[in-house]
Amino acid sequence: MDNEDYSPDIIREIINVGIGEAADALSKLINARVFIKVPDVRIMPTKDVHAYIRDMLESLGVYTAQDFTGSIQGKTILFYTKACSISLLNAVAGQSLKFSSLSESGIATLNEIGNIIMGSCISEISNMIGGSISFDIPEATVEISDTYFQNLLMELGRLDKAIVVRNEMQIKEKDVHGYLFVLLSFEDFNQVIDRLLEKMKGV
Amino acid sequence: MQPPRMFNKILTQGLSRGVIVLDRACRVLDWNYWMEKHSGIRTDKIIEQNLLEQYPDIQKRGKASYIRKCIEKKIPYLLSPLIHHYLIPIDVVRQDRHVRMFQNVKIYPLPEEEDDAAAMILIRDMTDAILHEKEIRRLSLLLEGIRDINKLMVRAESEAELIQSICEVLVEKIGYGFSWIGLTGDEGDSENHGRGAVPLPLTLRASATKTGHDPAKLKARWGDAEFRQGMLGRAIRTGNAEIFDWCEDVSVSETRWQRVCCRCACSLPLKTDEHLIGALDIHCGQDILSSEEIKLLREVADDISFTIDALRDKARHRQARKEMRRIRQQHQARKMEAIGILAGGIAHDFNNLLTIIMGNIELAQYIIPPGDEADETLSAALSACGRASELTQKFLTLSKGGAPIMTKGSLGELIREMIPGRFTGTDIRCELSVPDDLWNAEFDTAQMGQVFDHIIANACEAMPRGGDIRILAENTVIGPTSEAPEVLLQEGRYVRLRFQDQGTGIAKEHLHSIFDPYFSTKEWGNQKGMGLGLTIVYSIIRNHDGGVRVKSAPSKGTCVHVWLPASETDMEERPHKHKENIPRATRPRILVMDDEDMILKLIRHMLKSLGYEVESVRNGPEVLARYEEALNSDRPFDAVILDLIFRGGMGGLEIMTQLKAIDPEVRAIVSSGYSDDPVMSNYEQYGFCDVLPKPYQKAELNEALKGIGLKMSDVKH
Repeated sequence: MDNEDYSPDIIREIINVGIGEAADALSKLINARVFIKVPDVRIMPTKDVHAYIRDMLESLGVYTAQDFTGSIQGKTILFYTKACSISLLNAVAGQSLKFSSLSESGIATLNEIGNIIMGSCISEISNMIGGSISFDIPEATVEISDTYFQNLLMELGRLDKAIVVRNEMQIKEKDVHGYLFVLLSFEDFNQVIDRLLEKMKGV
Repeated sequence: MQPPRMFNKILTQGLSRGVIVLDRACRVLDWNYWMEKHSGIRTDKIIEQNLLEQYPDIQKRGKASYIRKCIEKKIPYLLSPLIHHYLIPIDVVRQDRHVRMFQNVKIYPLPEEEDDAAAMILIRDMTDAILHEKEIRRLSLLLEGIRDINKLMVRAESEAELIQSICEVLVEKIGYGFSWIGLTGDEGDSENHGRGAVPLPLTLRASATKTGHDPAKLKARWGDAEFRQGMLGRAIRTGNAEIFDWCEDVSVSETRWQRVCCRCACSLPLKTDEHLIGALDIHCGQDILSSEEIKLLREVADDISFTIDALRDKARHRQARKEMRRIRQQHQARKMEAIGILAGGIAHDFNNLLTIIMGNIELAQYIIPPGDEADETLSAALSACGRASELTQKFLTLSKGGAPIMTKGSLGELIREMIPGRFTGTDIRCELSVPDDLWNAEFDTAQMGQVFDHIIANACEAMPRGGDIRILAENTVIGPTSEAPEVLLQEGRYVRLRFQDQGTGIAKEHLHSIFDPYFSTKEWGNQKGMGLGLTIVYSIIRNHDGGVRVKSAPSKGTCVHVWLPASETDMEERPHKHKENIPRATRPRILVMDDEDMILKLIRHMLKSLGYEVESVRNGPEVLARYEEALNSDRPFDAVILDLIFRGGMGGLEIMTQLKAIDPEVRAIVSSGYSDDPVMSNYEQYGFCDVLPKPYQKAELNEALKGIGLKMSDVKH
């Protein structure tokens, strides 16, 4: 059995912990309970991500991208449909402002939420592999055509491995479904898996 | 290659956002021009100072941890304005008031090798964006609420319901803390609107609140409005909206603001044609009222005023129509009463004459030998008298409707029994719809039969080629809030009957005359077009305390609506006449009283021919004297026949009262040409044993005497 066979389970474990941390941080931030479901984790070539996301979601979305560097390099992308983004904003900041569309202040809030979720997952990976990873500040982009996300993925030629996490949260009785993509080069992906396997074996 | 220091300096000083560079101990290493400008702290005064000590608020609000974690763990943080509001407390002026700046904050960790710098904080002012977003949201909500208010105004039927619903929309939909509408009264009072006039109280008519605050505590009156003296008073005096923001008034304590639970309020006068009719007060809760919002609220107040005015106009119009209908009904009733008195008088005299004519014809028939040629002629004359008698009977029904003999019963059963037979042999199909739970009513069965006959006869005549007639019965309640039928009826429970035909209908110009006697749109004669049918229906139904209305249009058929009061109690059995058949000696003695000599003579003949012994008198005292005298002899009278109406003397009723005193067992029959008189309808209540409406024939006289227990074989001359 090679690394490829173990990788989904190992990654699922790590991401699960990371998403749990994110939910905890979010819960403290908004002072409300955040429920999460066990995320669905898949590993696929980056070139297939666009087709996958369009199969799953027909509407345009909002994606928040964050680069990370250090022991491993790559990019994390958090993707929500617009409707889901608005629902998330109303759950998080609805008391002060009711959202019916995405505004500048709403995008700033999505950036902060993205920073929490993506930062928690990557921090968890970083902790597990025992390396040092630093992040950039994320930037949210509101799609106005479905080529936006495709173009973003095309620019990531070297990051050919994608960990796709479908996560579901419930915040203040609102269901929020989103996708988290962790994009790595083949070498870094293998490095992560190797380090994780070693750690599991107690090496 | 690192960029030159000067380049960094130019860049940070020129940025339109705040830049703060901290060392690991959170001491300020750099503080750009933007920060100087917005914080009011010069760079040279803050360099080397601890940021968290300079701004204890950061620590107090739990935001210091983000800076520390960024420095220690090298994690970048974003603090968005909607979640955190701000990091560095800075106040800015917006719309003439101080507000705390909304900040989008980015905290970057810096590489350790870069001097002592450990973190950089970038602050972007988002106050305008957020205030605008809030304003847009509030205006959107307001517009949605106004749309709902407009819908309410279009549908409004009641003023009270409308203003209450508007208050609820203002609070529940738009989100104001509290709103109320006070009104001066139905018409307003323009005389009291001048400056310095006597305080005019506004009566609170509707309110809605989020906070549970009791609006009555606000005591909204002239010069004594909420918050500070006279906001409402000024609004009413000036006719303009008055807005109050507690933040601008040092005289208003925060405690008072908290008690009323609102920061900003406005008072909007409600006016129609420059006359004050009330005021709309809105209390905003935490927010302030923008000029755009005030403008929209003024429009709402104008629309409310207009709608209240329209509703009042509508109510006045409705009242006027009701009054007009009442006058028309009264007029109709008076007309019918006058016609009735005239018809009744004629009928009475005519009945007396008919009694003489018919009686004499009958006597003549007895006198002439059997088979005489004159017999046929006399029979024809008698038949014509019979028809004349029917006509006088109709006149009497018109006069007072013929006081109905009321019994409680099932109108539904009566309809099922009587109506289907009316259509036998016609091309008209009848569809009956009578619910099983139809309420009982109090009615005169015979008269209701007449009502059905006349209505159905009219329907049949309107459908000479046949057709359908639908007869529907239903229970209905006329109450203060229910839609009143277009006839004058007391409030209460009614049974409503509807007779809908498919006939030619009635032209609008004829509808107001259809209850007039001898009014007809049909051809005359031959049983058609007598023009008394609906007059009789009207008269009978009014005497039942009911109502009748005809709705019709040419070629759309006619619908006759009849309302009869429903009984409050269960059905009662109709009283039956139980007469004791007392065996009598042969040739019973009858005492007859009438003021018409010819009638007396005729009755004597009739009774003698029937085998009775007869004595006749012309007035009450004679009746009493002869009766008492006979009672004390061995030949008392077996029965007395009394004329009810006696011109210039003691009438039949008074005589009867005195006869009862003489002989409680007296058996008397009352007779009159006024067959509609209550004594004739309810003779048993007045002590009589039977009744003989004039004109009557010998057979009817005989029947009446048999009915009270006298029996005598007819003795032919």
